[in-house]
Amino acid sequence: MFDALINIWTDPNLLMVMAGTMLIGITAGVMGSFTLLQRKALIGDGVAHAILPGVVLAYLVTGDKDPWILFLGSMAAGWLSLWTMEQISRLTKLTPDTAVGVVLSVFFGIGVMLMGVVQAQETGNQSGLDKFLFGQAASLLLNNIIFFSLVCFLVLGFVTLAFKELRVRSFDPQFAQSLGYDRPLFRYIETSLLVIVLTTGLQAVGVILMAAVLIIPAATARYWTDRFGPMLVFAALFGALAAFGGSLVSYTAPRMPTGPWMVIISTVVLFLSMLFAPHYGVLSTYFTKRSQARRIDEEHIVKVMWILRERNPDQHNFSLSQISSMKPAEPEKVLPTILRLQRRGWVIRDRSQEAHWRLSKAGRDEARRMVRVHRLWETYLTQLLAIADDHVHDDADSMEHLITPEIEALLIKKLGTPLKDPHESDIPYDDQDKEDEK
Amino acid sequence: MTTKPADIIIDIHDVTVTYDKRAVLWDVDCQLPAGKLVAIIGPNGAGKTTLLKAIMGLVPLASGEVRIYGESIEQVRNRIAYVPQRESVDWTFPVNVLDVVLMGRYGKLPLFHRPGRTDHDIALKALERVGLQDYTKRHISKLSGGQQQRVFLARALAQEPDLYLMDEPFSGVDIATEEKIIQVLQQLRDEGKTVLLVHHDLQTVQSRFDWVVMVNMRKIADGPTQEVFTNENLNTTFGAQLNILSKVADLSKQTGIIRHNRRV
Repeated sequence: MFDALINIWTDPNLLMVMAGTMLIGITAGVMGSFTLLQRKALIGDGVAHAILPGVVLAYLVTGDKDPWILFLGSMAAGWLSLWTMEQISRLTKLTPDTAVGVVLSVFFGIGVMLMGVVQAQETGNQSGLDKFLFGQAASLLLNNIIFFSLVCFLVLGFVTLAFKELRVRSFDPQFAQSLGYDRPLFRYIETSLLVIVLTTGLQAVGVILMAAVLIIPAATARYWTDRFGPMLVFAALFGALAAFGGSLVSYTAPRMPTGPWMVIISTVVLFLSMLFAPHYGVLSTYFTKRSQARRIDEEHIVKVMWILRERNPDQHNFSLSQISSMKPAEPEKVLPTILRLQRRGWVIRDRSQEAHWRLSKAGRDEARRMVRVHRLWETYLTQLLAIADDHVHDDADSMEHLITPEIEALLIKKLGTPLKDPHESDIPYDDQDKEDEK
Repeated sequence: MTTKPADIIIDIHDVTVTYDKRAVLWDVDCQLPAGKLVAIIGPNGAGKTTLLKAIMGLVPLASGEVRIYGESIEQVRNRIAYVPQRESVDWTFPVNVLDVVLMGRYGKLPLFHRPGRTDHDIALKALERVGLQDYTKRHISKLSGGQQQRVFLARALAQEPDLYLMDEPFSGVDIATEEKIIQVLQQLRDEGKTVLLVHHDLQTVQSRFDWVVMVNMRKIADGPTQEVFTNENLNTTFGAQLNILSKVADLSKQTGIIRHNRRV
């Protein structure tokens, strides 16, 4: 069993496929990040499809399957498709996305038609061109790997060198133009690299799935970082990971194609990132929201306990039902919230009494701040904004959780340290319960 | 060629701009002096943004020319900061506040060189000047509209230009930001810089700007605010009597009669 696992890694066939697809994954991931950020994902898909007739035509004309000749054919088709898209949206009323759709389907249709011609010519002899539809990573040769390495080196080199230019062009094209970064040469290099990357990917994953290899790792990367440089690195890693997994699956499971598995694996990684990524993941958003909701519940409870103490000067401890009767939160949330407050040290449980909950020193400090901010806000609304005093309570109930110490200081300054709120309740500034602490 | 006073820095001569064959600016002639706070005003679709872009060389001119400091734009690019409309960029783009402000230094750097320590210091100073020094590492999507606009201003400051071209820097910002921006712009003016911006709030024109350019597909008036910001000019700029021009513009689109004299 273990021998088998080790033996895999010495099989030159697998290593070849793995190296080839991983180079494609890395290159496409980096290039795809630009495509994604410049909102050109659809164009990438269009060009990938439009390359097909170029490859087939190059073969038809030369009768040669030399990768370099096929490469030249696909480059020409890629460029022609981009140019056609541009002309269509410039000269007709069609929107750019329609132009992409038109070019994609027309070019691809011509490609499929030409493949029919090739197959009719080669009576029974497999031309091998159909691998460009879905790719055939298993047929990668050393020759291909050398070529992929070259392309990968070219792309990474250009991106490293022109990092700042690419970043500003992707973020703010008008500003980049005002800096004089809009030189045609730069645009040609950028576009050529995209076409080259798409072309090299075809052998492994084919025209139909190439857009996925371009876009999905980049989209995944965006979940894990907020910076441009790291995003490129993440996209390259996710691209490589998908290629690694894809070639492993196709090697171990018989008759499993590499390209489609690359796409499936990167889609799974994308899905997992959507769920688990920090900040942007569904789970992280959920937990952030929940902890916010919990904090609001906690603040409500300590505030209610302060007010209970205010209304019953001779009572220090309160029972759960007393607290619940003040409707501080939904009833079923009161006990768990109090237990959290106890863990936090804001509430003390005094088992010697029948009503055994009271605020600690820290809890009183927080409660006093809540009550003070609430009453200051009510005062502010009635005095300075002339809002009727029976309208202000609900508003203050939500504002008390938002007001920062700076805003509070501003309120106190504006109102001149008021001692009573509009409902004639005291606005607490100092701890009146000092004797409570022993 | 007529002799012009030494302090004219922008000379717009007979500029016509067309989009998609439709003329949006006709035969604009305008000379702007140095050291002034200048507002371009006019109704929606009057070509204010286009005029700004024409000055910066961002749109092809169907006719005419723009000289800045007596030179063509290519020669003086480095002395000008262009601030596009806030809505024109994607604020979810993966960069933080400092990244954006550092882009202001890019024009000073040779191709393929990265910003260095001096550039960082200049960027930080620019952020301080707009009151965002505590936000350097913040992602730009987590800023308010006013803060985003201030980031754009800081980027322009980091360019250390002599001339600022700003497209609606007050759109969608809170009052505090508006005050902050106008304060910085007035300081710049007092330092001898020139600020030319597209503005849409007529009420603040008189109190804030030294000079106005009023456009509605053509230039209606330009000059010191107290001289040209008159009811009559406002009526011409914002009134309805300009319909003939826009009708002709529509016709020109249908017939394709106005041609570009150079392509983008």
